[in-house]
Amino acid sequence: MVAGRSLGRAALSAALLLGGLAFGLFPDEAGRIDWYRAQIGVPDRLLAHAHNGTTGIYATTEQGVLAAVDADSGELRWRQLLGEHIGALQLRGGRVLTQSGANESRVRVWDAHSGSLQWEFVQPPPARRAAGGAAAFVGDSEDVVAVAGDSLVRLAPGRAVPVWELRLNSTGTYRRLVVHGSSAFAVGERADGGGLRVVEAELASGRLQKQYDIADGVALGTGHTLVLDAGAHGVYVLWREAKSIVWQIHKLGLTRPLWDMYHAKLLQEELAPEDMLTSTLAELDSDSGSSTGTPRFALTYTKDRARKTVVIELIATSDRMDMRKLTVFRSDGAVVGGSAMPGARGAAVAVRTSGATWSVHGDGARAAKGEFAYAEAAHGPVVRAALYRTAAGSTRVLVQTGGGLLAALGPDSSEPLWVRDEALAHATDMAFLDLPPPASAAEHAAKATDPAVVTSAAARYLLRWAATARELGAWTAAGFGLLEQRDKAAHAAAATTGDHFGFHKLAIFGTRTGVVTALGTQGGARVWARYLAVDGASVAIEHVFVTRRCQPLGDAPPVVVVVGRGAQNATVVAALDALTGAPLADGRLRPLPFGHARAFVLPAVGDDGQQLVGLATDGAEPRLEVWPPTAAATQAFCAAATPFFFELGDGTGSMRVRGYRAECPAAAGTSLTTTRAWTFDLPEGEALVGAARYDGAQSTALLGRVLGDRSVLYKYINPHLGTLAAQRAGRGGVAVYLFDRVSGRLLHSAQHAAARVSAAHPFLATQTENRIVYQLWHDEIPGAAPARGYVTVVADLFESDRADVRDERAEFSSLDLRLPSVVMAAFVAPEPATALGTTRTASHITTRDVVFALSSGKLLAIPDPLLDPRRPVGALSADEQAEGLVPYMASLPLDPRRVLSHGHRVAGVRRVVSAPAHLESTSLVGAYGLDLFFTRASPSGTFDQLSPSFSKLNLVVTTLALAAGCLLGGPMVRRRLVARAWA
Amino acid sequence: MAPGNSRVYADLSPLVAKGKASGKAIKEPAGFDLQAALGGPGSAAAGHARNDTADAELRVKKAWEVAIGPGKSLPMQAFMAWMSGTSVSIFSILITGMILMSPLRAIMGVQQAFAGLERGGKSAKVDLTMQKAVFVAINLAGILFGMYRLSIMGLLPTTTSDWLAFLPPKTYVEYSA
Repeated sequence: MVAGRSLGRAALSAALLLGGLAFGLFPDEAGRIDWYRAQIGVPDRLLAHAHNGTTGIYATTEQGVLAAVDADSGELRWRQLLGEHIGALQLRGGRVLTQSGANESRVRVWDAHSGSLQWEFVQPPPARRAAGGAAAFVGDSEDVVAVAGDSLVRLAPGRAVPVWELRLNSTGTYRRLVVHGSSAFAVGERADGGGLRVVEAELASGRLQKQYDIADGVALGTGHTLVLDAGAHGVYVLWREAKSIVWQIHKLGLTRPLWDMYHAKLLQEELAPEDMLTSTLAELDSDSGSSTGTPRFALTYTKDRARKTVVIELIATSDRMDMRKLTVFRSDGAVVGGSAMPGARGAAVAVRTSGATWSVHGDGARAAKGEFAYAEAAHGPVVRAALYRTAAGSTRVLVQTGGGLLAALGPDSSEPLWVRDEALAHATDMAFLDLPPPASAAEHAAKATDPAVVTSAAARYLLRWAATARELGAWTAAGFGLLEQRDKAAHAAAATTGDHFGFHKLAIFGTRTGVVTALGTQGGARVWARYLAVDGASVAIEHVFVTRRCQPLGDAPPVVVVVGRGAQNATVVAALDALTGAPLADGRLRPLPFGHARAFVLPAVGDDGQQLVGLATDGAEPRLEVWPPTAAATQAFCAAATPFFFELGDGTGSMRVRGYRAECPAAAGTSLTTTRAWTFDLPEGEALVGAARYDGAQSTALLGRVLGDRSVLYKYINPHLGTLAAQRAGRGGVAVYLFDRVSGRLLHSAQHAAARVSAAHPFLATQTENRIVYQLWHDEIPGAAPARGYVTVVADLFESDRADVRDERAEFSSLDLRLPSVVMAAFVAPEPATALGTTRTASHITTRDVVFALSSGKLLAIPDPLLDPRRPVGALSADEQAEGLVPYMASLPLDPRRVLSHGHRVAGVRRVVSAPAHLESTSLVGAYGLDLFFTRASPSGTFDQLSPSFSKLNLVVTTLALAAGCLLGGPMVRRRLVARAWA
Repeated sequence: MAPGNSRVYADLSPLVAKGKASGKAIKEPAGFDLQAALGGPGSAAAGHARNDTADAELRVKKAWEVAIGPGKSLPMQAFMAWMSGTSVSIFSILITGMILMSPLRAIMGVQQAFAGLERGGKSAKVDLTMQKAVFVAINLAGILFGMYRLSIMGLLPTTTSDWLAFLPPKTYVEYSA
């Protein structure tokens, strides 16, 4: 019997051990624990360039990135983060020329292969308005002419000052620069907006040759102007003035139009005058400075409701320039593009989103066409197309979609040769969705045995056993859980199934390009994507809210609601299935009849279990619109969340923040009127430069802070706490106000006399529990501030400055609140940050790290004790030691062990987000901006996980040895006991 | 002695004769009842009462020793406690546990501790209430000392921080976004 019991115990131990193995954490999850994606953003210029046998695609993006992408694989070769608007891009002989910056202008030449900077020229900010920006190589020489600041300059490598400089005297915004013969021509819009102005400078000396106006009422880059470089034959500007049916052509250097061109001549087809007014021009040779001698362009027109595109070539005849029609093709619903590479044959490419086809049109013989596999619903329609040739000589079509996808297509395969999804570089908001854990036998049983579903106890018992048997069968079929599941369906299910530790969630991003994308937080694979557009225009998404979570026992899908803006700033709201991205409502997306000022999740749940969304409109009479717009939803909100307050006017530059109280309507309706509850007027001469509030719902594990003598300082936890930063106009300095967003009452203010906030030095803040952390740039002020630098300020709010004193009222009302006691400390930040965030854990027992996204691309986690404003100056007393305080040090350390991003350079981070895992020790941390990075952080150490050095083998051997000991020793002990009883 | 009497006894009469012959009054050993030893009722009746008194005194005296016994170990315990320090460690907790448990166990077993002294042989029951009270008091002092140890080790929930986790969070009357 004893032997039987021992056997039972051993079996139990083994079962527990196996269970432990199945749920253990292993270090071989590298690349799944953290992942990184380097991005470039949506390109505004794309050029292909071949040099030394390799072809690269060079792009400048709206985010101020210059990048080189491998033409064969789409991989990022190199990128340079200029961080400012890039006004020009030109490629010559393995060199890349850029001009960037609006005020302080920089002209740089880069090595196309490595991306290293060869030389640069910095033009200080001009005294008057900056005059655009452009740059061009001078022939085959190393020299460059550029419009930098308010000057036209000629630059040479190795010279700190320009060869010559010609002041433009703010006469226009020059965005085009062409070098021809012995002259440099700068073409730009006139300062008075009346048309184009041409400045001609002598290339050798910089002497002003001519300065004259052309093309009344026309601007560059509108489809009504073109600059065509015909090499030795001159440079021509082609334009059509508004309400004119005649195209005019002007040769640069002459002071008047050269000749007129009529549609009939160009198209060899008669057009009705109204059709002539709709015709537009498109450049086909993207590299503006590439002189092919015979520049081509496309003219698109509509006749008899059919859209056609004509490819026209500018050629020199024996005595004068002429235009020749190369080809004409139907271009309904097509995006027409040209060659991204100088000299590439095949003039134009037309890419149709519907049907996903492309066709190359040129001089007939080289025409090619193809199809491509493409999910328009995920990436949007094609908005740009270009042709280029690889080093091996094959033609490629490069397409860019409205959503921000770049894809290279080839004639042989419908699958894109490579894709780059750059939409996430424009992410504006993201939300985490907790995924349901793998359906275990226990969950099957729970579902099967819910008394509400099955009333019979016997049936529930049988169901439970059946569920367990099914689970066992599946487990056995999967090779006892050891074999990898290769089934595609199983893989797709795994993408939307969580894990036991809560590490695998969906990170759902909304982007400015109209794409909603869900990525798995383990590995970063895309689970779904959806492109949102209203009337053909993409929706600029601003907010992503998860309004219904996964319900393990229910069948209703989780819901994500995105709020964005369509055309004319009209609010667009879409509800999607959070696991698949499928729209929940039928029909097309429609803009709402208002534009929201703020959008937020309301503290109320509708009939369908979805959290309601509030859209506040600003104006003379602000309103609160409840979404979904049903009377039932409004009633649910009024029943659950009254009184409800929100504030408006906390944007940058505002001088007054207004608080409103939502008034529930007497009759059924979906819109709530508001009454002004309070006004927070900033002191004279101050304007807002930043604001912060809590990021999502807060919870706290301990309501107080235990001091060394075991007394308690009670935390001041006010969910309505808001932070405002205001800059004084005259003598400078920044004031930070902590205020109550329900009553508008000022709770605390701090003055930073030496601080300054600007676009380069923004105000950053993060609020959690009773702590506010913010960062400000401090200028040096003699006698006041010791040094320039970034200062991190931490403020902790307590109910009283005395221990054990608490507001005993069980209810907290902002309308009858007591002021908090604020403890503040300032620290010197190690590096400038671009975003701040705080780690979140399941129960908030673990301490919180504040995560600084540094401009150097590091994610630095500063532990709670180092940011404690109660850190004492000088030696620690016994009580302070007992409290675990660390002596105050002014500078926060840049501890390499605390750099969450390891060696990655996470560039341009705009927001740091965090979500709790099921393990209390662990927090998921993500950063997005230009790049994406996800990892896990354990601020207090992985106290609830087995260490990597834990030997499971030892445990197994010990347990087996003990079991064997019990098994063998049991009978012996029993014999001895009997013998002793007889003695 | 009648034949067939199966009683086995020791003949202790020489002790009596000897004592009388020498003329010396030899005090009988504590607990020795000559009358009982000789087996005859009524013999040495005079010494019986005297012996009972002495026995009771002796018991009381012994009871006092038992009563103040735990007090003697207190200094030792205090020394051990001092040596183990006030930090919360396995050793100091073991010592404190011992300091607390041994007086508790003694108080629980107070009746057994005095049972042998309270009632012995045929003599009358001795009233040891005072001794017991002192015994309990000294052990209580031991418990108090143990409690003091717990207190200075911070293991007694006597401060606000000990009840912080049970504090209900406030409810918020208003809503905001």
